[in-house]
Amino acid sequence: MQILGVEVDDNYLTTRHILLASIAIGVIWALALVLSHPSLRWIPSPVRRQMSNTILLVGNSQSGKTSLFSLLTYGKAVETRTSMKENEGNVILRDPEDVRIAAGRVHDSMHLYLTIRFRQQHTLRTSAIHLVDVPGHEKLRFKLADFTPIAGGVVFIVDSATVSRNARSVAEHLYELLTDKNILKRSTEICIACNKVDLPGAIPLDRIRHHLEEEITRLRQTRTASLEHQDTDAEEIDVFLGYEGQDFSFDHLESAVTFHTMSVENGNMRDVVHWMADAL
Amino acid sequence: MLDVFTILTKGGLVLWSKEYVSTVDSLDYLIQDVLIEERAGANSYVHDAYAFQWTLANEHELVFVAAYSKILQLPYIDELLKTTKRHFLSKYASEIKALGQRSAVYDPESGEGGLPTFDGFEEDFGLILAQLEDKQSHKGPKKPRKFEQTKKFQSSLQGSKQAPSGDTDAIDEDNIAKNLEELSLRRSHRLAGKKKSSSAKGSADTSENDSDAPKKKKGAKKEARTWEGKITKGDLQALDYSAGTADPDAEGAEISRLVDESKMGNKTRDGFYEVQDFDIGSSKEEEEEEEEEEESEDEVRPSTSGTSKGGMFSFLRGITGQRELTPELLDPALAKMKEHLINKNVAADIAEQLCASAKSNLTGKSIRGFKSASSAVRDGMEIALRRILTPRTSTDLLRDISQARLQKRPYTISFIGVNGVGKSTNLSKVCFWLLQNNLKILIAACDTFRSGAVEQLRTHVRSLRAVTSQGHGEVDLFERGYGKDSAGIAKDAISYAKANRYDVVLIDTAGRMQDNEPLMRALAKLVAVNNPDKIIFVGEALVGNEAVDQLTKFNQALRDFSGMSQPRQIDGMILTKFDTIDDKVGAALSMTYTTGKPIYFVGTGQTYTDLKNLRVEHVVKSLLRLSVGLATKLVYPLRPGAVVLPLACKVRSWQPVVQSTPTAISWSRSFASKKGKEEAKKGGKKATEEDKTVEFTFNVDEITSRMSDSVDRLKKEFANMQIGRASPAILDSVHVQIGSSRMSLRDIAQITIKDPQNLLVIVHDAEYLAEVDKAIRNAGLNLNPVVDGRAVRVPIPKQTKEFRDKMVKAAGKSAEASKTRIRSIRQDAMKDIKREVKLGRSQNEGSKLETQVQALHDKWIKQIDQLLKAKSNEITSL
Repeated sequence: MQILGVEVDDNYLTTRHILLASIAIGVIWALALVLSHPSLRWIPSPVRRQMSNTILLVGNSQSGKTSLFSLLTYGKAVETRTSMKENEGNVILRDPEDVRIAAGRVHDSMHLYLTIRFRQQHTLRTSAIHLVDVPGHEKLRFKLADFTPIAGGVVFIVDSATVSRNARSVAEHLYELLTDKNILKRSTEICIACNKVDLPGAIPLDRIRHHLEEEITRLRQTRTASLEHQDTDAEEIDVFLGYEGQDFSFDHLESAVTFHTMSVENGNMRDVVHWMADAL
Repeated sequence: MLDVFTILTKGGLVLWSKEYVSTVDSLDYLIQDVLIEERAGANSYVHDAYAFQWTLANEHELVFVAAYSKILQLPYIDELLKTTKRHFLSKYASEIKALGQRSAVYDPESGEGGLPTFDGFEEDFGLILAQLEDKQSHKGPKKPRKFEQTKKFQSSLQGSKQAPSGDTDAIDEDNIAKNLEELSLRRSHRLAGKKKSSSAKGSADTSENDSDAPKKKKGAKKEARTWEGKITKGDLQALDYSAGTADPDAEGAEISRLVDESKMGNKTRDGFYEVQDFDIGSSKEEEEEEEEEEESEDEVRPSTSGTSKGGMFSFLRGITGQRELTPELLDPALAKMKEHLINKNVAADIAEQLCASAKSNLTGKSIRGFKSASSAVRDGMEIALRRILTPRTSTDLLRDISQARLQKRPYTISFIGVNGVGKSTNLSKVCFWLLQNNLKILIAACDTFRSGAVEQLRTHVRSLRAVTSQGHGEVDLFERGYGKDSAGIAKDAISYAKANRYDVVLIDTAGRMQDNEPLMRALAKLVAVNNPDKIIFVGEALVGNEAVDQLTKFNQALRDFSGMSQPRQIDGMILTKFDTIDDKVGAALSMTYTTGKPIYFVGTGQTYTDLKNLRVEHVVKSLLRLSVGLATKLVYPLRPGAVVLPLACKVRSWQPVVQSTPTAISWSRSFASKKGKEEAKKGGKKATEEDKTVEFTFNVDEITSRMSDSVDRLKKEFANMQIGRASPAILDSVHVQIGSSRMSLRDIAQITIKDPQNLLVIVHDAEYLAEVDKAIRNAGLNLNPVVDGRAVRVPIPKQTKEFRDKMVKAAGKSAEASKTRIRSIRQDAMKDIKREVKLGRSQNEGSKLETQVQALHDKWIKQIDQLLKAKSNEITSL
């Protein structure tokens, strides 16, 4: 075959056929390749994600994320260690019965298990929510960005007993969460759950709030003054939390931030669970 | 003895745990220091008093950890982990599988979907442990372990299986297996129905149960080893269930599990592959062959999936089945990954360690569909790299500086590194950035060695002032010329900065090769004397294997030569010349992996603004990017109008030629030639020529003060050795960790003597009570504080004879350490004197100084002896 157009008269049909055939083959090839692409196996998930029934549990190491997770997901708080990867589970939110929980501690071989009883009739939502416990270790923080696009709400857990000393690291973590581009874009609701209020060193809610606001005021100053990243062609939004010229306050944020107390150890988590049910 | 055995998920839930002593919180350290940092390729880990060994079951995301006292040698731990893992996985196959499924929703009424309990495992575990311990006690003295036996066990069940283990091992293991089987049969008799159905299901639908079933069979395979002809006896015993009363169905299932023909053939092949796994160098050709084979199996197939029949098959398999990653599948892919990493300039050792860690993390994991082993390795490696490069501590220097400002002290940063990497240059860049933030900065010129170093900084300061004339920032240079002790200059600079309210002190040090001991000693001294807030190592992005060597040796020197009980280490790195390396960013990985410390900045060009934060994703992407040809080039173009400053050149003399505007300065400069550098290296000789007024810095007073410091420390140590009578000095050395800062106990509490046997520590802020209590308890003083309202009461224990003997010994030890310090100070001083004599100090003067130093040395040594004698008397007499 020669160049198209020269020998059109004789070979027009054949050329066209060859062309069509090759296009058809090409299309089939392309389709096959596209379909075989591993990413497509996850087609259902974005669909699911749009409904956004996901709640993230975020917070520093040792603040009690995994304990809360296991209490909600499995109905009992087992002993936990630093998480190396995220935990995911589906939960039907029930009204936790505060009173009876204290009696629900079971001494079981060598370990104390805390089990929780639920008011059977009081399911707060009929459908299950998707609960993700994001690891809090500094080296694993990058995982947070994998889950914020699907988050319908975030529970940021703070250890009330140590927050006055760790205010800086807690605030840094919170700052990371608040400046996450998906959280900003969707103004995801955030609940700051002050855990371990039963411990003697625990400080009250408003002081925690004050500590965190103070730290974030300082942080946004140093963060916005830090050097730009290499390879700046990747989109990088300069975020300034709150209003310029004013000290930072959680009220300034687009996302609604609520503070609640909680004690996983004592099973006191009614407020947080109700918040979860309302947030979605 | 075994202290703790724990089975936990990677998510952090403890499934089952057996503690023979009270809780070991160190387990969290194991997870944080080893498993998260990608050092799981190692065999064991020691923290505090405990040694840990672990094994991973990646297919179920489980971790098995055993902890024991580190002074014990427990050779059976490997075996224990392995046996327990196998047994646990086979016994609770269905429960573990349910745990892995996220779809289940917990229903409190029926209890379905909840966390399974593994309480019944206690009995089994006790049996396993008892048998292994028993075996150990009969075995007698242990033979040296074979290589296969050590590394193999922790890597995987698969790997361990192939080890040509000795006869005794095999038989003993079979015994254990047999006993366990009996146990399970006994139990299955009890709850016959459930067991039967589950085991029948396990053998029937292999396709669905893929991830569990092989595991089970593998467990069985171990016992069914017939190829050496030695185990048949054991087998017969194992298969002999005549004693038991198990129902025939269960028995049949057990037998079918024990003899699995299809898997037996597989085993010999495993054995064949085995040698290649760990002997990478010797069978290069075969490996390559294997690699190609693997490639055709793994990668070509998916790409042809649209057309060929094989593709169709793999498509179906992709939908229906899962494959398990075996070491055979992984090894070629890992070898390729290792080579790839080395090509990207990652140090060879580190590439190897990473691959070993990846292997232990991936073995047993099941992959789906079209994912090939190499893409699984790639994905695993990507997460591992991100973990390594993500800093563990905050890299927000400005925040640290503002903290120091609140404390009304200057924040000190010292820059260290080998010659010619760009310490001064990047110091100026950092200075420029700090100036933009309106800070008042003092640069201390502590490079008193290389001629031109001070002038270089002076020029930088001048141009920095010119560039930032409009801001509020200020910068000054603190210089004391050449040839002097840099530690002293730094100290002066810091006190000057404190007096004049500077915010930051940047200490420039001389470049030194990591093997140059005298210079490394001087550096350690500088760090020990001034205790800077941050020690930043400046390294070139161009280095490969050298990066590891440099960092380890610098850290080593800081540790060995500092003479402090808690020596400082490098706190972070600056990677320079990052614009020159395209995507060969391996040095960034090597450095962070070696130190575990963050990279604060990367230097990317010739202007003051070319200092950037490192973006982790960028480095990870560059490291894993396959084709170098297609790589988008990392070019940092000069911004139009940017002031190009001659930053990186080594300049001997600076002569401003034109100075039209403050922001455009140009210089004619003479570069230091290689010869010139060599000359400069010959001590202060060069300086003598240029600058006739060289001072001899050797000072006997300084030696005296260093020696007396050392003895003071000994005195303090002695004071800490309590003698059964309350004295506040006992608690002098106690430091309390509050948040991120370490404070002296005296600063946050008042220490009083309540009565001769009790000290009372009244903490100013009741919030810190728990910390204080913990600090005293852990100070190594053998004290047991009691929290008493707002105060901590510290009862001083009465001493027994043994305790006193022990204490006398300890005192002798500290005295000896102190003597060693005095001797090394003397040695240093003698060297200094000799050097100065060489440089022109008179012989006479030199020998006079030497005798002086010797006399000092003798005097202090004598004093130490006296102190020790007094202390020993005190201890024994009271």
